[in-house]
Amino acid sequence: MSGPRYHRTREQDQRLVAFECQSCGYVSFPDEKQTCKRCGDAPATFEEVQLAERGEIKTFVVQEYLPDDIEVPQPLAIVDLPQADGSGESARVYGLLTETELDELSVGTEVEARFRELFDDGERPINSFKFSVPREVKR
Amino acid sequence: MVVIDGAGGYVPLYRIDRSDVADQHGGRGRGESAVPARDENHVTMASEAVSTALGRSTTAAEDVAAVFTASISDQFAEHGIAAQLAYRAGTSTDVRTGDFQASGRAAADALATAREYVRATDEPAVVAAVDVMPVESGGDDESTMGTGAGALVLRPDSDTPVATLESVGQATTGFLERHREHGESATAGDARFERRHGVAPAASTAFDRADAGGELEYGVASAPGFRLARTALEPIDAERVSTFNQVGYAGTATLLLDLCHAIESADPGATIGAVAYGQGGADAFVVSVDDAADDLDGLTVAEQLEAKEYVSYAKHLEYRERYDYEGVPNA
Repeated sequence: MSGPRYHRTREQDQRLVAFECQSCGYVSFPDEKQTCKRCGDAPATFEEVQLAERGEIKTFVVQEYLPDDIEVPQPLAIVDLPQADGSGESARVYGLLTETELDELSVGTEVEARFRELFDDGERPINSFKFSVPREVKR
Repeated sequence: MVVIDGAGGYVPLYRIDRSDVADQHGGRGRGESAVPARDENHVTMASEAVSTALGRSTTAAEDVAAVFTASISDQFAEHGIAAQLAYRAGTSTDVRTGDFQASGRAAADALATAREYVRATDEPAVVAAVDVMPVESGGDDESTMGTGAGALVLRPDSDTPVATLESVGQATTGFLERHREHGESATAGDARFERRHGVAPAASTAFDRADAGGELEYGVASAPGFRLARTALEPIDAERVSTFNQVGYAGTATLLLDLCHAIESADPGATIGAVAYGQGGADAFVVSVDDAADDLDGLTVAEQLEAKEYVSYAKHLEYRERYDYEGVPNA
């Protein structure tokens, strides 16, 4: 039994660990897939890589209709996160935005990963990464 | 000797202007208090402080031998913070962890224990404290209860320490006045009685036992109120460094948050006397600031105090409530 998703993906959710295809260099996050999404290598060989905590927004949408406990508008972005050691390709990551006003957002905006509560499992908080404009922008 | 190889404080982005609280319930309101974002909790805020402290340290996360945490507001009776912080930071699984709670002195207990652990094992330890103080609408302490986190990395030695932990003294008097049930605001009791019979003798004895030696230039005090903290610093003639007017009382985390603020603010060579008063007594620490404190990565506490946004009175209450979205189970 593999257990719930938030247990299976703890390394990705809490440490920003991604998976690099050893055939073509594609970086998968958060899933470690059997088949490389880009080169089709199967079974693919992936190696763990550490992602940096700052990246760049490639695109985003603004969600207006969500469950009552979530504040709206709630932006959702696709962010390119480079590898922490500067090597290889970036990972393309989906993430919610937090503490960010809509007028602070545009394609190309630098954002940083923020470890935040994503949802709860009944009473227990499940923490993972969201993104925000860097705190120093608020000064 | 035990050195502080890295120090990090975390103050949330949001603030409530205390005059907005006074507008609702009467009275005066000067200063502001920190409010957690809707998606922040004890583990996420402590992680911010630990990340900053480790990032400023020469210690790699996998070399950390112990993680001790303190909180007096964690809602869980069983769950813990230290092990979650250790995993998030990337420590080895043979790391020793400990969670301290139930007294405003908890962060001091964690720090003193971490110091003893480092002295006994010659291995580095992380100590962190975090609190989100509960408030009751209209309660006496609603405007001054804050939130924040602080963390230190301790080592037996370092080529580039940010500070040195020179000495520790404690006074366990058993005195109890202020008390609080889980999730409730506190019953403060008689403040004058507590200052005279609780704070003053405990803080004075703790500083005596810390054997401060020469004069201390800066003072840091953790106590659940401005005047209690001021009384705790009366034994030393030092300039007070405090986040109280910008953050409020961040529970037991106040000790490490304000100590970090003092280390970041003081010039190398300066000495700091830090005292934590809480249920049962007080603890005092003497810290000297080293050269590496002059050039630190990441946002300082002062910069975080400056980078802020105000929230309305309604948001101040709402943001402190538990998040209640269960997402998509087992997706």
